[in-house]
Amino acid sequence: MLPDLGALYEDHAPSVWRYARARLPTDADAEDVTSDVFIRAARSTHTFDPERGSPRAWLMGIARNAAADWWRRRTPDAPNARVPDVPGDEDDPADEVLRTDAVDTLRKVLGMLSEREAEAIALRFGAELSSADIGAALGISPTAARMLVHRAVTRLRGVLQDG
Amino acid sequence: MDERFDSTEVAAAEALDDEITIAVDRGPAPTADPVVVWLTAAVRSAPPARLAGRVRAELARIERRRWRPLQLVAAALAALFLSQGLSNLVNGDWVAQNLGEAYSQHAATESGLALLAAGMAVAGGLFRLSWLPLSVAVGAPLGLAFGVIGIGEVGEFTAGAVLHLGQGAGGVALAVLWWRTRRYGAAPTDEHGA
Repeated sequence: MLPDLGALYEDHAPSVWRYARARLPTDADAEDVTSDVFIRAARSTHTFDPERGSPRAWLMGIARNAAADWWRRRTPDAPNARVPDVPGDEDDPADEVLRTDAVDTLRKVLGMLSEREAEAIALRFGAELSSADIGAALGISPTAARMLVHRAVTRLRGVLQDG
Repeated sequence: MDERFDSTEVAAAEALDDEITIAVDRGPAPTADPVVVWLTAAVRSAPPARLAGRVRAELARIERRRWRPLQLVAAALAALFLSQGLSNLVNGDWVAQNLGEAYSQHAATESGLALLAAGMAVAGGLFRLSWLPLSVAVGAPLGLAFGVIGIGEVGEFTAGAVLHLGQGAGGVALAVLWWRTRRYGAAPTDEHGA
């Protein structure tokens, strides 16, 4: 059985929030989706099966669906909304990386990756899921998940170095 | 699928995976890959405090709605116990007459008071969610017991049979709803209000 939903929020809200922050264009959108995730979780507690994964992996499955639904609703009105403009000195990526709110930069550079790579980065660094959990979420092996993250990080390194 | 990967790249991916695990668990090592350090720091922030309030309010609303059917059944069952208790106090002789039994004012008064107390205990869950277990503990067995008595009153005392069979149905409904509602969730608490 799942722990109390309040305890579930206390334990896993940071992971859901960080994932949503990485996957959505603004913090306000991330708040909406994070709230939506826990509402969906409250309504579907019967779908949690401890033999199929941890509460966090279950919540992240809900979070992925909630984020995908958000984009599905958003896309017809704002087809170019995936990568928001980031104010700052575009000629100096090193300074930009050092900005306090680095998540804006993260959103921008994730937009340069493939959808699957961006998802893997958000799940690994935002949700802090293990490679095995990412593999289960994406329907691939843990090794394939590690490779996906590795290739995404390699591409990001190139993107950040090129500015 | 894994066979398609180059073994050198797999080894590098595993090393990176270890580095990421250390970075997210304990903070990046001084010698960590700068991209890993940056990625770890970029997303790491606590959810805003107002988000917790918003989610708690939504969860409380959902939780209250989840227990509502049980509260409605408890209300109906409490009404039956209270009406039977009042009936015993006020119309005990009429009840005895319909059952063809000798009327005892002492027994009718004491059973009437006991039924009023039971009705109030069952009704408690309407006012506090944390009292719902008491409503079920009192209402389900008592309702079932009266339901069995009601079967014997069919054809003998219609009003009594209807009352007791209603109490039996309420007792069964209370037990089933409690089991179903508790099956996938935590026990009710006052955090969610009535």
